[in-house]
Amino acid sequence: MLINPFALTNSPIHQLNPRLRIILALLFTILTITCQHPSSLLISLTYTLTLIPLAHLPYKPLFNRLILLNTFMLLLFLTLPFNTSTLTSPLENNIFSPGLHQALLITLKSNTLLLILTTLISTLDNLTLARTLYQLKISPKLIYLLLFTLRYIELIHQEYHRLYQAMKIRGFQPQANWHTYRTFAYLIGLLLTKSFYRAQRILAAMRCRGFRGRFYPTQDPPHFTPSDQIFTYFSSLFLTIILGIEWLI
Amino acid sequence: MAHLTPSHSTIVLLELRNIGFHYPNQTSSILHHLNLTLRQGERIGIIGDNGCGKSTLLKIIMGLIKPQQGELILLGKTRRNEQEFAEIRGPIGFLFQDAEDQLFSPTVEEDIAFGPLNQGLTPQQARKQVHDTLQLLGLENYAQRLTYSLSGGEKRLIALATILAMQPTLLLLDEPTTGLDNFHYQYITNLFQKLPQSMLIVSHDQKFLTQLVDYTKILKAGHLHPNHP
Ligand SMILES: Nc1ncnc2c1ncn2[C@@H]1O[C@H](COP(=O)(O)OP(=O)(O)OP(=O)(O)O)[C@@H](O)[C@H]1O
Ligand SMILES: [Mg+2]
Repeated sequence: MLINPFALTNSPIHQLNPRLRIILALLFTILTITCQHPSSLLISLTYTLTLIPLAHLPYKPLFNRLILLNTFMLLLFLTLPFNTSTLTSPLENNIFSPGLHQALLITLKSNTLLLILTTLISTLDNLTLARTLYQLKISPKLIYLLLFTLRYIELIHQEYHRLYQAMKIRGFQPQANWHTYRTFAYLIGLLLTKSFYRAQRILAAMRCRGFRGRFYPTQDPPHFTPSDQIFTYFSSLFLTIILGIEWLI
Repeated sequence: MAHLTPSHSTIVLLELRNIGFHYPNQTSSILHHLNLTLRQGERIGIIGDNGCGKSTLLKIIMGLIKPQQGELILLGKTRRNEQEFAEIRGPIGFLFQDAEDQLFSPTVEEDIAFGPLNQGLTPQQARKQVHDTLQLLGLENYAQRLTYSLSGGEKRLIALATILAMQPTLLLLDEPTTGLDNFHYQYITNLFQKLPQSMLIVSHDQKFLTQLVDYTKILKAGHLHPNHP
């Protein structure tokens, strides 16, 4: 039922300082997107691969995420290698090489990004994420936007399950006929209106409890623990190597 | 039961004058010329048919929907705009009819702490408040439970805790006993009898109401009538 299954487990990564995690995720994201050398990309990938076992991520949702992303990447492999016009190095009259290279790079980068964000950010629950961003002096307006977007997606998801169950207990089985199409059209329509009203009711609930547009931390901002320190050293090592490769080579 | 009108203080917590309301997409009004006064220490029950507008009335009092007509005087001041209503949320606690909508944080502790934190308590004070409230309701071991995995009745009890944690002076309760098992029904009844708060209770449960309120009113045809059985 819950959209973010990664925040529910507990692990050494979950224990780390949220601010540290967000900052590191940001740094690695920027480096992964901008890096030029395949070897620095491989190092960032190695970094995230070492984090996954530390984060005790539930495997099924993780694989689902990866499969979804890579199905999309498959489209790149089907199109990019044949698209020679926009790509450089026209001298090599091998139609595969530049396009395939590009597709490989994009696939590797997006998988690395997905893993970094899943291990470091998805392991935060929504409220902790919001609070930490607040501590990092991000504009509160943007934070609410993020928070309510997340909440809204979650609500649509829950409503979908509820409605679909209500349909199933009355013997509904999807088939290729008008009855099915019409029912799904109703389902989607109802889904959007219901989630909209539900979101409004939740905002009302928040206002009833004195919400005036600010989130307060339930805990004092977490201290920097020895394990945070070790993790900082560990991550800095990878960051330095990547920066080194990018600048020196 | 034991609350008799003369012993009540003269402080008026809530006064509704001539309230008229209809939902934008409806032609006839749900409420019209509705009046109600509730003094400190008083407990009033409201009964009425399904769909007669009881929940709507409570939402109007909380300022969640705006009546087209009439005046609301809450805690000594006329309340018109969002800012004026924001001041009464907390001193007036509202238990929703549907607890599903009332919990929104991942854990019970976080959810209950939300209100006290908004009231300006420090994290430690808020945590203590959470602990005390859970203890009052006999739910000490619920603090770390995940809100989405609670049962219907548990959600109701926790929703009640989120409101009590804000130490309100007036409670608006929309069918507080639905979905509770015998044990918790008794527990809540006893607890409410002991609580110091003034209350406005919407309920279909006559037995529950007679144990708690000074008198009941019937909401019918848009306004409140005295209940003469
Ligand atoms: N958001 C809304 N928009 C339009 N009409 C509404 C809305 N909410 C409620 N109503 C209508 O207003 C009337 C009063 O609803 P309300 O929820 O106040 O009833 P109630 O007295 O609490 O009933 P119940 O005992 O079933 O809880 C109903 O006829 C309902 O259909
Ligand atoms: Mg109702």
